[in-house]
Amino acid sequence: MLARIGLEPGDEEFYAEQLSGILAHIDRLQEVDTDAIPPTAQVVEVANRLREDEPRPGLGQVEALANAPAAVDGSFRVPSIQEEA
Amino acid sequence: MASPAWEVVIGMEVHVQPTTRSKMFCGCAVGRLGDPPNSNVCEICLGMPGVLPVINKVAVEACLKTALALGCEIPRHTKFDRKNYMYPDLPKGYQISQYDLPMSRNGHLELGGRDVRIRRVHLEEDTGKLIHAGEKLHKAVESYVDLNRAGVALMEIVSESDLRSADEARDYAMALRTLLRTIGASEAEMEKGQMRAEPNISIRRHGSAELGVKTELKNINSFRALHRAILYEVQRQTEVLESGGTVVQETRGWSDAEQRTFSQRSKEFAEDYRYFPEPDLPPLELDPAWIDELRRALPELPSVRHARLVSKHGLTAADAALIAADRELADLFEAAVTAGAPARQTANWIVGEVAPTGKLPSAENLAELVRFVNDGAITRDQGREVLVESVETGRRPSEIVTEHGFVQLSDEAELQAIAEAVVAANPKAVEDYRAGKKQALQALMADLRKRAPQANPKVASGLLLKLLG
Amino acid sequence: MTQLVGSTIGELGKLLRAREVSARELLQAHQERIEEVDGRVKAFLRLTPELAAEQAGRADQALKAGDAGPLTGIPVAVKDVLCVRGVETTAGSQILRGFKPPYTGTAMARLFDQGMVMLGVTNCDEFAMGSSTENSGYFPTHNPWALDRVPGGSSGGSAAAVAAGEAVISLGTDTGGSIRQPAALCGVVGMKPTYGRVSRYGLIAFASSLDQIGPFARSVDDAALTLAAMAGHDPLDATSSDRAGHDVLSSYGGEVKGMRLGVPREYYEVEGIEPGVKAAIERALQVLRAAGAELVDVSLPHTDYGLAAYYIIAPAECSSNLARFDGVRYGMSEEDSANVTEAYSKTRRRGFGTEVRRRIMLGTYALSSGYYDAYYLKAQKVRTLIKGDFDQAFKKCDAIVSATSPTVAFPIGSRTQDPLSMYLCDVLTLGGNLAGLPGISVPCGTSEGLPVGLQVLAPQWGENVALRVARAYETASGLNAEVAPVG
Repeated sequence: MLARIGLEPGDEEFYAEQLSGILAHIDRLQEVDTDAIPPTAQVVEVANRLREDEPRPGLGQVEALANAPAAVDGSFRVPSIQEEA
Repeated sequence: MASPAWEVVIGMEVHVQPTTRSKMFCGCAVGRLGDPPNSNVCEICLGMPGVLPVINKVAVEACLKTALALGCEIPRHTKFDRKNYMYPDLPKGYQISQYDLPMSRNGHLELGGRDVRIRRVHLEEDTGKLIHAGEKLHKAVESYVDLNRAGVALMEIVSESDLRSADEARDYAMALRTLLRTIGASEAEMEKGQMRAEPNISIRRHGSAELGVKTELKNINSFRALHRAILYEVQRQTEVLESGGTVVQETRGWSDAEQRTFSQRSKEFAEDYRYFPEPDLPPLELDPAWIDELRRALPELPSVRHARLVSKHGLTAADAALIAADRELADLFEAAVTAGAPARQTANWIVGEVAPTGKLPSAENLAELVRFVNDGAITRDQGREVLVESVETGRRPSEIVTEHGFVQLSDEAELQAIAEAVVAANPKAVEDYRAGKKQALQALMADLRKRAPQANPKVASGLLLKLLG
Repeated sequence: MTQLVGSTIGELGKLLRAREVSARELLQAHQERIEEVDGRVKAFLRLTPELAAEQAGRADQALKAGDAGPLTGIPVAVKDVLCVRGVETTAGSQILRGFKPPYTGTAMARLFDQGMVMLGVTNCDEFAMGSSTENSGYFPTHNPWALDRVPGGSSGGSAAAVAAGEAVISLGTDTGGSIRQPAALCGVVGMKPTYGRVSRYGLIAFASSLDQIGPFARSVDDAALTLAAMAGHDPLDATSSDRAGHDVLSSYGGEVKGMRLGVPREYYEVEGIEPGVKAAIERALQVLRAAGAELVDVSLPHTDYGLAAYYIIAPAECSSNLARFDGVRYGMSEEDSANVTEAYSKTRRRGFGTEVRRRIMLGTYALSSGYYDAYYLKAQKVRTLIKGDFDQAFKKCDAIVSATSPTVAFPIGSRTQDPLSMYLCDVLTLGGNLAGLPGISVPCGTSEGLPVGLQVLAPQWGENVALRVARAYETASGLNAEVAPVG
C-alpha cells in the first residue's frame, strides 16, 4: 500500500534504516507538552476566500491532452483496473 | 420480501449536484452529459502541477440552504480536508472533502409522519468518469478517463440508519429530491446523474439491539432501481444468514441489466484515507447573520405546505401530496384560491388537467375558469377546451367563453324537450334502466350530450330521471 | 561604463532607458556569460532562447515608446518548479520529463507583464526537497565560488546563476530555507516573503503550508523591487493575502539607527555551527551596532524541536501533493504494465529519486491512522509553540538576526549518505517557514574563503523591516555581491 512508491524487496531495509534515524529524531517532539496547545490551522490569518460562480474558459480537449502519455479518442488511457485479489 | 423474523435496517448516503454554473474549486463550466470527453476541464481540475483550489460561493450557499431546510445545526467554523487515495478518476490523488468539521450536522427529514434523522450534510468535489473497454470492469483490458465531471460540486447527505424498508428508502429519496427542488438547491434528476443514492443495508432479528453487518450499494440510477436493489439485497442477505453464513461487509454494485447486486472486490480492503486539513483552503467562518438571512429566504418546505393544504384548504392527502411536491403547482393553487376559486375544485383541476400537461395557466385565469364550471355557467368539457386555449393564448376564460358561445344550457323547458327526444330514441336503454340496470343512464346521458353539448348535466340528468320514473 | 554582466537592476535600467543598450543586447550578454561558465557551474537545466528573444523584442518596443518600468528588459532565470506556459518544467525530476504546463503561474506572469526576459530554467533538488541541489534528477549544480562544492538547495541553480553573473535576478522557492540557504552559500541576496505575500499559483507544490516564491539578486534593492512586483492578492490562491505588493517597500530605505535587533541565543548554539560562520556573524553584528542598531538578547526556546516538526509537516503535505504524479495525464509513464496498480508503482519508482521516496514514506506514515495524533497533529501543535516563540521575541525587538546557514558550502557528496546531516542545514531557516515570517539572507563576508550569509527575520508582513536592516547592513559593510569568477 505504502503510497504506491514501488517498494521492491531489497528496498525495505535500506529505507527502514534511514527512516529509523529520522524517526528517532522526530520522536523528541514527545518531550514537548502540547496538551493545551491548538494545532496551527493556517499560519497566516486568512479566512473565507470564496469565488463567484462565474464560468471561465478552460483548456479545451486538445490542450488538456497535450501532455498525456496515452490518449484514445479524447480520453486518457490507463491499463486495466484490477486490484490484487 | 424479508421474512417476518428479520428487521431491515437502512441508512442512505445521497450525493447531489447543487445547481452551479462552474465547478467546486475552479471556473470550468459544469457542462452536460454527452459533452465530448475532457472538454470542460482546466489545469486545476486536471490536477496539474502547481494549481490551487478556490471555493465556489454558490455551492456553499446551496449546501447551507439544504442543511437549513433539513433543520441541521450549522457550526461557526467549517473546513475542508483531503481524502487521500490514488485512482485514475481522481486527478490529484486526493479528493477535497469534509471530514471532522462539516458544514452541518443533526437534522431530520419528515417522512410519513415520522422523522428520519440526518447525520450530516457536507460539500466535496466529484471524481471523473471511467469507461472500461469490454463489458465488465474486472475483465477490462484498458480503461478511459474523462475528467469533465472531476471537480464538479457535490453535496453529501448522510442519514442515520432509520429506514426500515425498500419503500421507505425510496420515499426518503423522493422526498429529498422534492425538498432540493423546492429550495432551488439542485435539480436532483437521478437520470441526469445529479443525484446518486447509496443505501447501506443490514438485517437483524426483530428485537435485537445490535446491528447486522451492512453492505453498501452503488450504481443505482433511478428510484425504481433503488427499490429493486434494496429488495434484492435484503433477500440475498436473508438467504446468506438463514443458510448459516455471514454477510461480508463490502460495497456491491447494482446491475440493471442483470437485476442483481454483485461484489465490487476492488473496495474490499479498508483503505486508510489519511485525512488532514486542506492547507490550500483557509477555514470558513460562517457568519450567523448570513445563516439567518439564508434561513429566512427559504421557501415553504414541502412537508409544511402539504400539511397546510390539508388542514387549511381541506384537500385530500393525495391531492395535497401531488401539489405540494411541485413548487409551481403549489404556488398556482394558492394564488388561484386567493383570487376567489374554491379550494377543492381548484385542486381537482390542477391535479386532473393542469399537471398532466405541464402547462400552467395564470392564477387569475384558472380561478375564473374553476368558478365558471363550479357555478354551472359552462360544462366541465367546455371548461377543458377553455383551459387549453387560455394556456396557449393567455386570454381570459370569460373572453373565450363568449367567443365560442359556450353558455351552459340550463333552461328546463329546452332541456325537457331534448330529454324527451332521448327517451324516445333509446328504448332499449330505457327498458334496461327501468329493469334495474342503473348504468343504462350513462348511455342516455351520452346521447343527450351529443344532441346538446352545452346541456347542464345536473339539470339534464334530473329531468331524464323524472321521465324514466 | 557599467558592465552588462554583474550590474544591478538600477544600473542596467538607466542604460536601457537611455537607449545606450537594448534589451536584446543585454540578453545576449547574459547568454554569452551562460555559454562561458555554465558548462562548469551547471546552474541551468534548459534555456529558453526563443521566449527570451520574443520578450526582449517586446521590452525594446516598450523602451522605445517610453513605456518602460524598472524591470523592463531585465533578464531573469526561473527555478524548475515554477510553471511557465509552453516551457518544459520538471521540478528537477525525471517523472515530469517533457511536461509543458498549459499556463503560467501568477508571480511569473506579473514579472513578464512588467517586461522581464526569461533566460531559462534553473536546476534544483527534486521537488524542492534538499539543501544542496544534489537531489536533482538530472545533475548537481556547482558552487560558482568553489566548483567542487554545493551551491546549497533546493534553489541551488537559481542562486548559482546570479552568483556567476548568468542572470541579474532569479526566482527560487523557500519551504525550509531553500532560498535563504543557497543565497548564503553562494554569496548573493535571497529573500523569502511572508507566507501568503506572493501567490503560489504555478508553484509545483512541495509543502503547501510552507512554500513561498522569492527572488535571488545581487543587491537588496534588486530583491525588494522584484518581490514588490510579484506580490499581492491573487484570486487563484485562496491563501494569498489582500495586502498590496508595494507595501514591502514602505519606508524601507530608512536607517537602522534606533532599531532593536534580536540575537537569539539558541541560533548561535545549533548543532554543527562552524566557528568561522559564528565569527563572520559576530563581525556583521558589530557593523550593525556601529550603524546605530541596538542588539538585544532574545530566546527561541523551542528551536531544538523545529527540525522534527518540519520533517513531519513537510513530508506529510508532500506525500499528498505528489500523489498526482501517476503517469495518467502528464509526465513519465511506464509502458507495459499489466494493471493500473503496477503502472503507478513502476512509474513512481523509476520517476522519483531516493529523497523524494523517503519523504513520501515518512509523510504517509505521519498521516496514517493511528499515528496522525502522535505525528502530524503533534507537529502542528509544536508549530504553534514555535510561532509563539517568535511572537514573544518580537515584543523585545524589531527584527531577528543570525547566521543563515550553520556552515559554509560543503563538498559535493559529503552529506548524501546521511539524510539527517543534510536536514541540519536548515535548522536556522526552517523556523521562519513554520512561523510564516519574511526572511532575507545578505552576504556578510567569508569563512575559509567561502561566502557566509546574514539572516534577518521580521514579523509577519514585516518585509520592509527586514529589507531595511539588510540594506543598512549592505551599505554600512560596503560588501557587495561580486560576480564569481568561476576560474
